[in-house]
Amino acid sequence: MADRWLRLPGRGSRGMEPDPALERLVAEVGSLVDYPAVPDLSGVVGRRLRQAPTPSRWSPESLRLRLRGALRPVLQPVWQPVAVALIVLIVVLSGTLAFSPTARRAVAGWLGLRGVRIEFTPTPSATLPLGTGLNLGERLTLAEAQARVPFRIVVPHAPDLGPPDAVYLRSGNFAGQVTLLWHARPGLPRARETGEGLLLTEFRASVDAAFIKKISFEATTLEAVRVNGGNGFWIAGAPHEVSFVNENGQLLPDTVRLAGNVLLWEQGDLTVRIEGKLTKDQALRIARTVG
Amino acid sequence: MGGRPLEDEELVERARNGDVTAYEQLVRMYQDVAARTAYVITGGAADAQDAAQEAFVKAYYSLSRFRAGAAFRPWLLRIVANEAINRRRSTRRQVGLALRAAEGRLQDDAVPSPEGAALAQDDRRRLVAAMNRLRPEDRLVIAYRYWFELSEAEMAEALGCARGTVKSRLSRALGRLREVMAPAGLGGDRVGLEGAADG
Repeated sequence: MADRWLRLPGRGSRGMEPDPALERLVAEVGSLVDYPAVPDLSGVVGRRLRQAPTPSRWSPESLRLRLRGALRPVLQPVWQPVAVALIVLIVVLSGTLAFSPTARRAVAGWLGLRGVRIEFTPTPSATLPLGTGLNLGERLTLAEAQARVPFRIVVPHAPDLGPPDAVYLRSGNFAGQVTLLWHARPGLPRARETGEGLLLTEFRASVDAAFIKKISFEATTLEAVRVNGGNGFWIAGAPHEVSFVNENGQLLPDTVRLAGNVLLWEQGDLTVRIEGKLTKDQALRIARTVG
Repeated sequence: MGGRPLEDEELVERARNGDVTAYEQLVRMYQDVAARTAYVITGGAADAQDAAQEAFVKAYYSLSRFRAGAAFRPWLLRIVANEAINRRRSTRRQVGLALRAAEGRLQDDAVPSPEGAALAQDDRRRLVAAMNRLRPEDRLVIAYRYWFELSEAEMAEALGCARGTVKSRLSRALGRLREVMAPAGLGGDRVGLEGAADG
Protein backbone atom coordinates (compact mmCIF):
# COMPACT_ATOMS: atom_id res chain seq x y z
CA MET A 1 0.00 0.00 0.00
CA ALA A 2 2.77 2.35 0.94
CA ASP A 3 4.40 2.10 -2.43
CA ARG A 4 1.35 2.02 -4.53
CA TRP A 5 1.89 5.46 -5.93
CA LEU A 6 5.43 4.59 -6.89
CA ARG A 7 4.05 1.94 -9.20
CA LEU A 8 1.64 4.19 -10.96
CA PRO A 9 2.65 5.06 -14.50
CA GLY A 10 3.96 8.55 -14.81
CA ARG A 11 5.16 8.73 -11.23
CA GLY A 12 8.72 9.89 -11.14
CA SER A 13 8.44 12.53 -13.77
CA ARG A 14 9.03 15.67 -11.80
CA GLY A 15 7.27 18.29 -13.77
CA MET A 16 4.39 18.67 -16.05
CA GLU A 17 4.28 15.65 -18.31
CA PRO A 18 0.84 14.16 -18.55
CA ASP A 19 0.04 11.64 -15.85
CA PRO A 20 -3.01 9.77 -17.10
CA ALA A 21 -3.34 7.64 -13.97
CA LEU A 22 -3.41 10.67 -11.73
CA GLU A 23 -5.82 12.49 -14.02
CA ARG A 24 -8.10 9.46 -14.12
CA LEU A 25 -8.09 9.23 -10.35
CA VAL A 26 -8.81 12.96 -9.97
CA ALA A 27 -11.72 12.72 -12.38
CA GLU A 28 -13.07 9.64 -10.64
CA VAL A 29 -12.98 11.28 -7.23
CA GLY A 30 -14.93 14.25 -8.58
CA SER A 31 -18.17 12.34 -8.54
CA LEU A 32 -17.50 11.01 -5.04
CA VAL A 33 -16.81 14.24 -3.17
CA ASP A 34 -19.17 14.80 -0.28
CA TYR A 35 -20.50 18.29 -0.97
CA PRO A 36 -22.71 19.85 1.68
CA ALA A 37 -26.36 20.13 0.76
CA VAL A 38 -27.19 23.63 -0.38
CA PRO A 39 -30.60 25.09 0.36
CA ASP A 40 -32.24 26.94 -2.50
CA LEU A 41 -30.57 30.35 -2.61
CA SER A 42 -32.92 31.88 -5.14
CA GLY A 43 -35.40 32.96 -2.46
CA VAL A 44 -32.97 34.85 -0.32
CA VAL A 45 -31.09 36.31 -3.29
CA GLY A 46 -34.38 37.42 -4.87
CA ARG A 47 -35.52 38.99 -1.61
CA ARG A 48 -32.28 40.89 -1.25
CA LEU A 49 -32.51 42.19 -4.80
CA ARG A 50 -36.15 43.20 -4.46
CA GLN A 51 -35.48 45.05 -1.23
CA ALA A 52 -32.65 46.97 -2.82
CA PRO A 53 -33.36 49.78 -5.24
CA THR A 54 -33.79 49.24 -8.97
CA PRO A 55 -30.96 47.47 -10.72
CA SER A 56 -30.04 50.40 -12.86
CA ARG A 57 -26.37 51.06 -13.13
CA TRP A 58 -26.85 54.09 -10.91
CA SER A 59 -28.62 52.32 -8.08
CA PRO A 60 -26.96 52.95 -4.72
CA GLU A 61 -26.11 49.30 -4.26
CA SER A 62 -24.63 49.13 -7.71
CA LEU A 63 -22.71 52.33 -7.16
CA ARG A 64 -21.51 51.21 -3.80
CA LEU A 65 -20.23 47.96 -5.27
CA ARG A 66 -18.64 49.74 -8.18
CA LEU A 67 -17.02 52.33 -5.99
CA ARG A 68 -15.88 49.77 -3.51
CA GLY A 69 -14.44 47.65 -6.31
CA ALA A 70 -12.70 50.56 -7.91
CA LEU A 71 -11.38 51.98 -4.68
CA ARG A 72 -10.57 48.74 -2.88
CA PRO A 73 -6.84 48.88 -3.56
CA VAL A 74 -6.79 52.46 -2.35
CA LEU A 75 -9.20 52.18 0.55
CA GLN A 76 -8.20 49.00 2.23
CA PRO A 77 -4.69 49.83 3.33
CA VAL A 78 -5.53 53.34 4.47
CA TRP A 79 -8.83 52.68 6.16
CA GLN A 80 -7.43 52.09 9.60
CA PRO A 81 -5.05 55.04 9.71
CA VAL A 82 -7.85 57.28 8.47
CA ALA A 83 -10.16 56.17 11.23
CA VAL A 84 -7.44 56.53 13.79
CA ALA A 85 -6.52 59.96 12.46
CA LEU A 86 -10.13 61.03 12.69
CA ILE A 87 -10.35 59.94 16.28
CA VAL A 88 -7.10 61.64 17.09
CA LEU A 89 -8.29 64.78 15.37
CA ILE A 90 -11.45 64.82 17.42
CA VAL A 91 -9.57 64.32 20.63
CA VAL A 92 -7.11 67.07 19.79
CA LEU A 93 -9.91 69.45 18.92
CA SER A 94 -11.71 68.61 22.09
CA GLY A 95 -8.56 69.31 24.01
CA THR A 96 -8.27 72.80 22.61
CA LEU A 97 -11.84 73.48 23.52
CA ALA A 98 -11.65 72.02 26.95
CA PHE A 99 -13.15 75.04 28.66
CA SER A 100 -16.27 75.20 26.60
CA PRO A 101 -18.45 72.15 26.98
CA THR A 102 -20.98 73.49 24.52
CA ALA A 103 -18.46 74.06 21.80
CA ARG A 104 -16.95 70.76 22.61
CA ARG A 105 -20.19 68.98 22.07
CA ALA A 106 -20.54 70.76 18.79
CA VAL A 107 -17.28 69.48 17.41
CA ALA A 108 -17.89 65.98 18.60
CA GLY A 109 -17.95 64.10 15.37
CA TRP A 110 -19.22 60.65 14.65
CA LEU A 111 -17.96 57.47 13.18
CA GLY A 112 -19.79 54.33 12.47
CA LEU A 113 -20.53 51.20 10.57
CA ARG A 114 -23.68 50.38 8.64
CA GLY A 115 -26.57 50.89 10.98
CA VAL A 116 -24.38 52.09 13.80
CA ARG A 117 -23.53 55.61 14.65
CA ILE A 118 -20.86 56.34 17.20
CA GLU A 119 -21.05 59.75 18.78
CA PHE A 120 -18.54 61.31 21.06
CA THR A 121 -19.75 63.01 24.19
CA PRO A 122 -17.66 64.88 26.70
CA THR A 123 -18.70 62.93 29.76
CA PRO A 124 -19.91 59.43 30.39
CA SER A 125 -23.59 59.13 31.15
CA ALA A 126 -23.51 58.06 34.74
CA THR A 127 -27.18 58.41 35.46
CA LEU A 128 -28.52 55.61 33.31
CA PRO A 129 -29.73 52.49 35.04
CA LEU A 130 -27.62 49.42 34.63
CA GLY A 131 -29.08 46.16 33.42
CA THR A 132 -32.38 47.58 32.33
CA GLY A 133 -33.71 48.34 28.91
CA LEU A 134 -32.06 45.35 27.31
CA ASN A 135 -35.24 45.11 25.33
CA LEU A 136 -34.06 42.37 23.05
CA GLY A 137 -37.47 41.65 21.58
CA GLU A 138 -39.43 38.46 21.31
CA ARG A 139 -37.93 35.26 22.57
CA LEU A 140 -37.88 32.55 19.90
CA THR A 141 -35.93 29.49 18.94
CA LEU A 142 -33.09 29.95 16.49
CA ALA A 143 -35.12 28.22 13.78
CA GLU A 144 -38.15 30.45 14.37
CA ALA A 145 -35.99 33.55 14.25
CA GLN A 146 -34.29 32.31 11.10
CA ALA A 147 -37.65 31.85 9.41
CA ARG A 148 -38.53 35.46 10.09
CA VAL A 149 -35.43 37.31 8.94
CA PRO A 150 -34.26 37.69 5.35
CA PHE A 151 -30.61 36.95 6.13
CA ARG A 152 -28.84 33.85 7.33
CA ILE A 153 -28.26 34.16 11.06
CA VAL A 154 -24.57 33.82 11.81
CA VAL A 155 -23.48 32.15 15.04
CA PRO A 156 -20.13 31.79 16.79
CA HIS A 157 -18.58 28.37 16.46
CA ALA A 158 -16.19 28.77 19.38
CA PRO A 159 -16.16 25.30 20.94
CA ASP A 160 -16.19 26.53 24.53
CA LEU A 161 -19.23 28.72 23.93
CA GLY A 162 -21.75 26.24 22.60
CA PRO A 163 -25.21 27.14 21.37
CA PRO A 164 -26.89 30.26 22.79
CA ASP A 165 -29.08 29.96 25.90
CA ALA A 166 -31.72 32.20 24.37
CA VAL A 167 -32.53 33.81 21.03
CA TYR A 168 -34.45 37.05 20.59
CA LEU A 169 -35.85 38.85 17.59
CA ARG A 170 -36.58 42.50 17.65
CA SER A 171 -38.55 43.41 14.56
CA GLY A 172 -39.55 46.80 13.34
CA ASN A 173 -36.25 48.43 12.61
CA PHE A 174 -34.56 47.21 9.44
CA ALA A 175 -35.30 43.65 8.59
CA GLY A 176 -35.13 42.38 12.12
CA GLN A 177 -32.44 42.31 14.73
CA VAL A 178 -31.44 39.00 16.20
CA THR A 179 -29.75 38.67 19.57
CA LEU A 180 -28.17 35.49 20.85
CA LEU A 181 -27.67 35.37 24.59
CA TRP A 182 -25.40 33.27 26.78
CA HIS A 183 -25.93 33.36 30.53
CA ALA A 184 -22.98 33.98 32.79
CA ARG A 185 -21.20 30.82 33.89
CA PRO A 186 -17.71 29.76 34.87
CA GLY A 187 -15.40 31.06 32.18
CA LEU A 188 -17.99 33.57 31.00
CA PRO A 189 -18.27 36.26 33.66
CA ARG A 190 -21.39 38.32 34.21
CA ALA A 191 -21.19 41.74 32.61
CA ARG A 192 -22.36 44.46 34.98
CA GLU A 193 -24.21 46.33 32.24
CA THR A 194 -26.32 43.48 30.92
CA GLY A 195 -26.41 41.05 33.80
CA GLU A 196 -25.55 38.34 31.29
CA GLY A 197 -22.46 36.56 30.07
CA LEU A 198 -22.47 37.40 26.40
CA LEU A 199 -24.77 39.05 23.90
CA LEU A 200 -24.34 38.74 20.16
CA THR A 201 -26.56 41.02 18.14
CA GLU A 202 -26.78 40.99 14.37
CA PHE A 203 -28.84 42.83 11.83
CA ARG A 204 -28.76 43.92 8.27
CA ALA A 205 -28.81 47.66 8.07
CA SER A 206 -28.77 49.85 5.04
CA VAL A 207 -27.38 53.29 5.47
CA ASP A 208 -29.26 55.08 8.18
CA ALA A 209 -27.84 54.93 11.62
CA ALA A 210 -30.28 53.21 13.88
CA PHE A 211 -28.12 52.01 16.68
CA ILE A 212 -26.48 54.89 18.46
CA LYS A 213 -23.52 54.57 20.74
CA LYS A 214 -22.30 57.51 22.70
CA ILE A 215 -18.74 57.38 23.76
CA SER A 216 -16.98 59.49 26.28
CA PHE A 217 -13.78 61.11 25.14
CA GLU A 218 -12.03 60.61 28.39
CA ALA A 219 -13.04 57.25 29.68
CA THR A 220 -13.77 54.98 26.75
CA THR A 221 -11.38 53.81 24.08
CA LEU A 222 -12.31 53.16 20.50
CA GLU A 223 -10.03 51.10 18.31
CA ALA A 224 -10.42 50.25 14.63
CA VAL A 225 -10.09 46.52 14.00
CA ARG A 226 -10.58 44.10 11.12
CA VAL A 227 -12.78 41.08 11.77
CA ASN A 228 -13.47 38.33 9.22
CA GLY A 229 -12.57 40.67 6.41
CA GLY A 230 -14.83 43.47 7.59
CA ASN A 231 -14.22 46.77 9.31
CA GLY A 232 -14.95 46.98 12.97
CA PHE A 233 -14.43 48.77 16.25
CA TRP A 234 -13.42 47.60 19.67
CA ILE A 235 -14.99 49.81 22.32
CA ALA A 236 -13.75 49.36 25.87
CA GLY A 237 -13.24 51.10 29.15
CA ALA A 238 -15.99 52.97 30.90
CA PRO A 239 -19.52 51.89 29.99
CA HIS A 240 -20.96 53.78 27.04
CA GLU A 241 -24.48 54.74 26.27
CA VAL A 242 -26.33 52.78 23.62
CA SER A 243 -29.76 53.42 22.16
CA PHE A 244 -31.92 52.83 19.12
CA VAL A 245 -33.83 55.12 16.86
CA ASN A 246 -36.89 54.11 14.89
CA GLU A 247 -37.34 54.47 11.15
CA ASN A 248 -38.15 58.15 11.58
CA GLY A 249 -34.99 58.87 13.46
CA GLN A 250 -36.70 59.26 16.83
CA LEU A 251 -34.92 57.95 19.85
CA LEU A 252 -36.66 55.04 21.52
CA PRO A 253 -36.37 55.97 25.19
CA ASP A 254 -36.84 52.44 26.46
CA THR A 255 -33.76 51.31 24.65
CA VAL A 256 -31.27 53.68 26.23
CA ARG A 257 -28.86 51.79 28.40
CA LEU A 258 -25.22 51.47 29.25
CA ALA A 259 -23.03 48.94 27.50
CA GLY A 260 -19.69 47.52 28.53
CA ASN A 261 -16.92 46.28 26.29
CA VAL A 262 -18.20 45.80 22.77
CA LEU A 263 -16.76 44.49 19.54
CA LEU A 264 -18.67 45.65 16.53
CA TRP A 265 -18.02 44.75 12.92
CA GLU A 266 -19.43 44.33 9.45
CA GLN A 267 -19.60 40.79 8.17
CA GLY A 268 -20.95 40.36 4.67
CA ASP A 269 -24.08 42.47 4.64
CA LEU A 270 -24.60 42.12 8.37
CA THR A 271 -23.49 44.29 11.22
CA VAL A 272 -22.56 42.14 14.19
CA ARG A 273 -21.93 43.21 17.75
CA ILE A 274 -20.79 41.23 20.75
CA GLU A 275 -20.95 42.55 24.25
CA GLY A 276 -19.68 41.08 27.47
CA LYS A 277 -17.06 41.27 30.16
CA LEU A 278 -14.38 40.30 27.68
CA THR A 279 -10.89 41.39 26.83
CA LYS A 280 -10.21 42.46 23.28
CA ASP A 281 -8.44 39.17 22.56
CA GLN A 282 -11.32 37.12 23.94
CA ALA A 283 -13.83 39.10 21.91
CA LEU A 284 -11.78 38.77 18.74
CA ARG A 285 -11.34 35.06 19.31
CA ILE A 286 -15.10 34.55 19.52
CA ALA A 287 -15.75 36.93 16.62
CA ARG A 288 -13.43 35.02 14.32
CA THR A 289 -15.53 31.90 14.72
CA VAL A 290 -18.72 33.68 13.72
CA GLY A 291 -20.07 32.39 10.43
CA MET B 1 -25.87 22.02 -13.43
CA GLY B 2 -26.50 24.71 -15.95
CA GLY B 3 -28.73 25.81 -18.71
CA ARG B 4 -28.58 25.80 -22.44
CA PRO B 5 -26.73 28.88 -23.67
CA LEU B 6 -29.81 30.27 -25.42
CA GLU B 7 -31.90 29.98 -22.31
CA ASP B 8 -29.10 31.58 -20.29
CA GLU B 9 -28.86 34.44 -22.70
CA GLU B 10 -32.54 35.20 -22.52
CA LEU B 11 -32.62 35.02 -18.73
CA VAL B 12 -29.54 37.21 -18.41
CA GLU B 13 -31.08 39.76 -20.74
CA ARG B 14 -34.30 39.80 -18.73
CA ALA B 15 -32.41 40.06 -15.44
CA ARG B 16 -30.36 42.88 -16.83
CA ASN B 17 -33.59 44.73 -17.43
CA GLY B 18 -34.61 44.33 -13.83
CA ASP B 19 -36.51 41.03 -13.95
CA VAL B 20 -35.60 39.51 -10.58
CA THR B 21 -37.74 36.43 -11.30
CA ALA B 22 -35.60 35.64 -14.32
CA TYR B 23 -32.51 36.06 -12.19
CA GLU B 24 -33.92 33.74 -9.54
CA GLN B 25 -34.16 31.11 -12.23
CA LEU B 26 -30.49 31.61 -13.08
CA VAL B 27 -29.70 31.27 -9.37
CA ARG B 28 -31.56 27.95 -9.24
CA MET B 29 -29.75 26.73 -12.33
CA TYR B 30 -26.27 27.60 -11.14
CA GLN B 31 -26.43 27.47 -7.36
CA ASP B 32 -25.08 23.94 -7.17
CA VAL B 33 -21.96 24.59 -9.19
CA ALA B 34 -21.53 27.96 -7.46
CA ALA B 35 -21.75 26.46 -3.98
CA ARG B 36 -19.48 23.57 -4.94
CA THR B 37 -16.91 25.92 -6.38
CA ALA B 38 -16.99 27.97 -3.19
CA TYR B 39 -16.78 24.79 -1.11
CA VAL B 40 -13.69 23.60 -2.99
CA ILE B 41 -12.05 26.86 -1.95
CA THR B 42 -13.31 27.39 1.59
CA GLY B 43 -13.84 23.80 2.71
CA GLY B 44 -16.61 25.03 5.01
CA ALA B 45 -20.29 24.57 4.26
CA ALA B 46 -21.47 27.83 5.81
CA ASP B 47 -18.72 29.89 4.20
CA ALA B 48 -19.42 28.31 0.84
CA GLN B 49 -23.12 29.04 1.07
CA ASP B 50 -22.50 32.64 2.11
CA ALA B 51 -19.95 33.15 -0.64
CA ALA B 52 -22.35 31.76 -3.24
CA GLN B 53 -25.21 33.94 -2.02
CA GLU B 54 -23.05 37.04 -1.94
CA ALA B 55 -21.63 36.26 -5.37
CA PHE B 56 -25.12 35.94 -6.86
CA VAL B 57 -26.06 39.35 -5.48
CA LYS B 58 -22.86 40.94 -6.74
CA ALA B 59 -23.19 39.26 -10.12
CA TYR B 60 -26.67 40.71 -10.49
CA TYR B 61 -25.36 44.20 -9.99
CA SER B 62 -22.52 43.53 -12.41
CA LEU B 63 -24.75 42.29 -15.22
CA SER B 64 -24.28 45.56 -17.05
CA ARG B 65 -20.69 44.51 -17.57
CA PHE B 66 -21.57 41.05 -18.80
CA ARG B 67 -20.79 40.69 -22.50
CA ALA B 68 -23.91 39.74 -24.44
CA GLY B 69 -23.49 36.28 -25.92
CA ALA B 70 -20.75 35.25 -23.49
CA ALA B 71 -21.14 32.15 -21.34
CA PHE B 72 -22.80 32.89 -18.02
CA ARG B 73 -21.41 30.01 -15.97
CA PRO B 74 -17.67 30.86 -16.11
CA TRP B 75 -18.43 34.55 -15.69
CA LEU B 76 -20.42 33.77 -12.55
CA LEU B 77 -17.83 31.32 -11.23
CA ARG B 78 -15.16 33.98 -11.39
CA ILE B 79 -17.21 36.15 -9.04
CA VAL B 80 -17.95 33.16 -6.80
CA ALA B 81 -14.29 32.18 -6.59
CA ASN B 82 -13.22 35.71 -5.71
CA GLU B 83 -15.81 35.89 -2.99
CA ALA B 84 -14.81 32.50 -1.61
CA ILE B 85 -11.09 33.27 -1.67
CA ASN B 86 -11.68 36.52 0.20
CA ARG B 87 -13.69 34.69 2.83
CA ARG B 88 -11.10 32.01 3.16
CA ARG B 89 -8.38 34.59 3.70
CA SER B 90 -10.35 36.11 6.51
CA THR B 91 -11.55 32.99 8.28
CA ARG B 92 -8.62 30.62 7.71
CA ARG B 93 -10.72 27.60 8.44
CA GLN B 94 -9.45 24.15 7.73
CA VAL B 95 -10.30 22.68 4.40
CA GLY B 96 -12.43 19.62 4.68
CA LEU B 97 -13.16 17.98 1.35
CA ALA B 98 -14.07 14.35 1.94
CA LEU B 99 -15.49 11.39 0.11
CA ARG B 100 -19.11 10.46 0.57
CA ALA B 101 -19.52 7.72 3.11
CA ALA B 102 -20.16 4.16 1.93
CA GLU B 103 -19.06 4.96 -1.57
CA GLY B 104 -17.23 1.74 -2.29
CA ARG B 105 -17.36 1.42 -6.00
CA LEU B 106 -18.03 3.27 -9.13
CA GLN B 107 -20.97 2.63 -11.34
CA ASP B 108 -18.89 1.52 -14.27
CA ASP B 109 -17.74 -1.39 -12.13
CA ALA B 110 -14.09 -1.06 -13.03
CA VAL B 111 -13.04 -2.74 -9.81
CA PRO B 112 -11.71 -6.23 -10.34
CA SER B 113 -11.50 -7.69 -6.82
CA PRO B 114 -12.03 -6.87 -3.14
CA GLU B 115 -8.32 -6.10 -2.78
CA GLY B 116 -8.49 -3.95 -5.86
CA ALA B 117 -11.52 -2.16 -4.46
CA ALA B 118 -9.75 -1.47 -1.17
CA LEU B 119 -6.70 -0.15 -2.98
CA ALA B 120 -8.80 2.01 -5.24
CA GLN B 121 -10.67 3.46 -2.28
CA ASP B 122 -7.38 4.07 -0.51
CA ASP B 123 -6.08 5.96 -3.53
CA ARG B 124 -9.18 8.10 -3.57
CA ARG B 125 -8.84 8.96 0.09
CA ARG B 126 -5.20 9.86 -0.39
CA LEU B 127 -6.07 12.01 -3.33
CA VAL B 128 -8.72 13.93 -1.38
CA ALA B 129 -6.32 14.37 1.52
CA ALA B 130 -3.73 15.71 -0.91
CA MET B 131 -6.28 18.06 -2.50
CA ASN B 132 -6.99 19.45 0.95
CA ARG B 133 -3.34 20.30 1.34
CA LEU B 134 -3.08 22.27 -1.89
CA ARG B 135 -3.46 26.01 -2.17
CA PRO B 136 -7.11 26.88 -2.86
CA GLU B 137 -6.11 28.29 -6.25
CA ASP B 138 -4.62 24.94 -7.28
CA ARG B 139 -7.63 23.02 -5.98
CA LEU B 140 -9.86 25.31 -7.97
CA VAL B 141 -8.01 24.78 -11.26
CA ILE B 142 -8.15 21.03 -10.82
CA ALA B 143 -11.80 21.04 -9.80
CA TYR B 144 -12.78 23.24 -12.75
CA ARG B 145 -11.18 20.85 -15.20
CA TYR B 146 -11.90 17.41 -13.78
CA TRP B 147 -14.84 17.86 -11.44
CA PHE B 148 -16.97 20.55 -13.06
CA GLU B 149 -15.67 19.76 -16.54
CA LEU B 150 -15.20 23.29 -17.76
CA SER B 151 -13.76 23.64 -21.26
CA GLU B 152 -10.45 25.38 -21.75
CA ALA B 153 -12.22 28.53 -22.89
CA GLU B 154 -14.54 28.45 -19.88
CA MET B 155 -11.58 27.93 -17.56
CA ALA B 156 -9.80 30.91 -19.06
CA GLU B 157 -12.87 33.04 -18.42
CA ALA B 158 -13.46 31.65 -14.91
CA LEU B 159 -9.81 32.05 -13.92
CA GLY B 160 -9.42 35.40 -15.62
CA CYS B 161 -6.38 34.31 -17.58
CA ALA B 162 -5.40 33.78 -21.21
CA ARG B 163 -6.41 30.50 -22.82
CA GLY B 164 -2.78 29.63 -23.34
CA THR B 165 -2.15 29.89 -19.61
CA VAL B 166 -4.87 27.44 -18.61
CA LYS B 167 -2.88 24.34 -19.57
CA SER B 168 0.25 25.40 -17.73
CA ARG B 169 -1.69 26.37 -14.61
CA LEU B 170 -3.46 23.04 -14.66
CA SER B 171 -0.30 21.06 -15.15
CA ARG B 172 1.49 22.96 -12.39
CA ALA B 173 -1.43 22.28 -10.06
CA LEU B 174 -1.36 18.58 -10.96
CA GLY B 175 2.39 18.53 -10.41
CA ARG B 176 1.94 19.95 -6.93
CA LEU B 177 -0.85 17.48 -6.24
CA ARG B 178 1.46 14.64 -7.19
CA GLU B 179 4.21 16.01 -4.98
CA VAL B 180 1.88 16.29 -2.01
CA MET B 181 0.65 12.75 -2.51
CA ALA B 182 4.08 11.21 -2.58
CA PRO B 183 7.17 13.38 -2.33
CA ALA B 184 10.23 11.92 -4.08
CA GLY B 185 12.07 9.38 -2.02
CA LEU B 186 9.26 8.82 0.45
CA GLY B 187 6.69 6.10 0.61
CA GLY B 188 3.13 7.18 0.35
CA ASP B 189 2.51 6.54 4.03
CA ARG B 190 4.85 9.33 4.97
CA VAL B 191 2.47 11.84 3.54
CA GLY B 192 -0.13 13.17 5.94
CA LEU B 193 -3.22 11.36 4.84
CA GLU B 194 -5.76 12.16 7.45
CA GLY B 195 -7.53 15.43 7.63
CA ALA B 196 -6.49 18.76 6.31
CA ALA B 197 -3.14 20.21 7.12
CA ASP B 198 -3.90 23.37 5.24
CA GLY B 199 -4.31 26.38 7.49
